[in-house]
Amino acid sequence: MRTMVKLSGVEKTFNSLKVIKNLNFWVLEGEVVSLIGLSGCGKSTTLRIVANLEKTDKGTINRGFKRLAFIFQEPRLLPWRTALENIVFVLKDRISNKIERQQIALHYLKLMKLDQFKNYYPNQLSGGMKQRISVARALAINPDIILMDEPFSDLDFPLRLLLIDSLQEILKKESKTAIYVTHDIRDSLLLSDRIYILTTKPMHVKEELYISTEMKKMSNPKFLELEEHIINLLKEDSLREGENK
Amino acid sequence: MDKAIDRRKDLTNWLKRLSGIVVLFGFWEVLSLFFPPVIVPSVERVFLTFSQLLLRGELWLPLSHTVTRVLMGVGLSILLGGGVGILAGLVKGIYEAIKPVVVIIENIPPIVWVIVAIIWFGLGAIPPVFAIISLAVPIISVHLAQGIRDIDPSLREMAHSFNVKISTKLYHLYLPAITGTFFSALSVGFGLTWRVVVMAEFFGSMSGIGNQLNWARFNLETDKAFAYTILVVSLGLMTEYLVIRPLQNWATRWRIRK
Repeated sequence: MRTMVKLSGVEKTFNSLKVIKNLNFWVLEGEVVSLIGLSGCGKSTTLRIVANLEKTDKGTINRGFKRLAFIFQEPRLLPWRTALENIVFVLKDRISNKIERQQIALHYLKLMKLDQFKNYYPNQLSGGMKQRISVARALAINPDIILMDEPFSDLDFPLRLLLIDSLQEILKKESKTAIYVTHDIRDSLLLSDRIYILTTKPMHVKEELYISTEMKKMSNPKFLELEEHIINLLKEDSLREGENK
Repeated sequence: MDKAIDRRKDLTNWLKRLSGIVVLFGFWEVLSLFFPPVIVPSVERVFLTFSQLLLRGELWLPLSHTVTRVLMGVGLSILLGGGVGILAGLVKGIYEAIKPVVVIIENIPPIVWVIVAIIWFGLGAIPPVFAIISLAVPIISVHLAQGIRDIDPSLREMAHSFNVKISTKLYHLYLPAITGTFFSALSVGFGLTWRVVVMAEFFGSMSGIGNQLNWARFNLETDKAFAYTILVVSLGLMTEYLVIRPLQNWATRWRIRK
């Protein structure tokens, strides 16, 4: 299996505060890898570094992908374009045939069960619907890797579960590689093949966990065990942060 | 229920606005009772003159001259101001460089442009068009540049992360994002344009509404001067409410659909 992303000894400083120190991790093709850590620990910055939206101060990044799609925390849809047009927007420079572009966009809207809302403007849709469009937009460009920055954090838990379920199905079916940044342990356990637990100030990998398909079920006692284990790891971090304050 | 309340509110607002106009005309009418027509002509006299000018066809030629100049001036200003504005919106250095220049230009009294244009180009159609351009280009370019700079950075970043080409970004992100500011610039620009074009024609042209006003002054035809003023005010209102606002509503229709 080919390595899609490899970060070695990455460091990042913001206003003389070292946020990331000696960060090492890798993501293989077809894997869904979660980065879990406390809020503000630098997870999103890491994702932005992978996407080349942010520069590093030190370290190397090997990118084995050509096409990446980013699903942001907010849907980031063009308010003056309809649901369908928002997806077509990212396909314009890749597919010259207009009909083909629209068919692809519609296919992914259907996948997100939003095809009947294709002509709606974002301000006519709910938060969950908008985020589903942003997921459809990301999938539509047929990316080698999808970077997800807490895309479901603003949604209610039942809706989040539904979205995670459908996303998991699509990612597996199309064997997509994805990096999922979250502070929600359940979300990451449900979605990932591997989890990196990150410590804070400066951020680096504390532990790496492999999640089998069996473990991904909430009814499995192993799921709860793992959840507790991660909670304890993050608790340690949280306490350490509290002491430092 | 809500719609009925809204409609009643709208009606009340319209009545309030109408009452302001009625008071203005009433004040004018009262004044005309105390002064001879050559100083303050009565409302009915002015409207009679206006309808006579209209029926005799005397209005159309100066009107066509003025409208042509305004359209030429505004058209060229959109091209020039649009180009400079988009460039300044995209390149921070250009934005910083043109900002003080625009402030200087904006503070030059419009009459200066007219005088300079008469010296450079002589009397004719050029001084009014030149005055419009000098006035409208800074307004349009600054509004557009500011509009582009105010575009939600998260949308820019989204487009960047998806590797969207600049031409696609321009058409689907930048242009729709600045539609609102473009139309407000156009509204301000047109508002000033009607006033300036008449002044420029008054001093620097042998035709147009401004020139007719000059003749009215020369012949002491105050009712004619008032009639042409009504025409200019109507033109300003018609551009705003029959052209700019409907276009603006159409271009920003995504905002109202709920």
